[in-house]
Amino acid sequence: MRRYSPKVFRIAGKFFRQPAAVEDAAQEAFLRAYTQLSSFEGRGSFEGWLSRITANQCINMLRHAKRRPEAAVSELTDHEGPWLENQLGDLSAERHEASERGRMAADIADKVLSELSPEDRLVLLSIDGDRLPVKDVAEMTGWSESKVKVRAFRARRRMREAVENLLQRTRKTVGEKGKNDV
Amino acid sequence: MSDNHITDLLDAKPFSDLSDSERSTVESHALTCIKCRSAYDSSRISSSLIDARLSEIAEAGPFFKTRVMAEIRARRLSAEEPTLLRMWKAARALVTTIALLLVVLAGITIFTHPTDFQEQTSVVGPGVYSAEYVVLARGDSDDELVNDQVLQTIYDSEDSDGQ
Repeated sequence: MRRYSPKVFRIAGKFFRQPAAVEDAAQEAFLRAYTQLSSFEGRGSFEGWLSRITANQCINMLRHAKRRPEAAVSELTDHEGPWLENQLGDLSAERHEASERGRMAADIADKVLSELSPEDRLVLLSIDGDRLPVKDVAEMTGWSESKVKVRAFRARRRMREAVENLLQRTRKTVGEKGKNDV
Repeated sequence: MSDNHITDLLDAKPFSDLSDSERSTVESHALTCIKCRSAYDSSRISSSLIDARLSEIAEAGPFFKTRVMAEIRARRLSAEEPTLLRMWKAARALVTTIALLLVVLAGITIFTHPTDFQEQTSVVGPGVYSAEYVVLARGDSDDELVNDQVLQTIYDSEDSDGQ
């Protein structure tokens, strides 16, 4: 368990943000693996098998959970809007080193990612975030590599469009606030 | 290059994986096309947001293993109880049927051979009666009483006639 915990937590963390939720998902994944151990045929790696169980478990948990309402500018705090706007000027990775800003960025990321399906979120965060090879993601999801590539392409587009919409709304809101202040 | 080409290029691979030549192509086009500029900015922000999101993934706590092991034990115990219940539910009908059958057989044994039972009880000995004998043979003793009364009546009447 000690050996595979980081991997399981890494996958669960892509679906859930709260540490308690991540730990619950990881626990369920380990329990499921324990009860289904006899079904492991040893064809692939144990880590791959466990990753697949974890991903499926998290997807099921998210589907059963109440769906979050669609992210909207009104949900962004007073600090998140300007942060998003400022990203157009400077996007260096160092900006996230400050914990406050990093947390704010993660908050916005969570709101944008909540608009994607659990599968799209997993593919996007695994390939674009963790730089996992398509083959590994295919093993984790049980899909073909071509399907993973197509899902990643669509997920990237959805994410980009969601950010684009968010930016437009933020600009509009900031503009209206500016007019009111004047 | 059309807008479509740039957005396809942006969506085809992770933003950080764009080569220098691809990036310069996209950036130069974005300078002249507002729509592509917006797509390019959004892709950059998306990439940044994904990195920010993954930077704060939780790790296993010190008691995680204990918690999982305790849960495994708890579930194993709770899984055993329903098994016993399931066994009882399956066997309940059979047990009831056997009990009913025994009652019926006992009833048949007792009520279809009352004379044998009477014979068995009379063997106990003269002047000693079991409760079953008294109850079951009460009709006969009534008959004997009646006969005695009849004989007594006859002898009484003969005596009175002789006198």
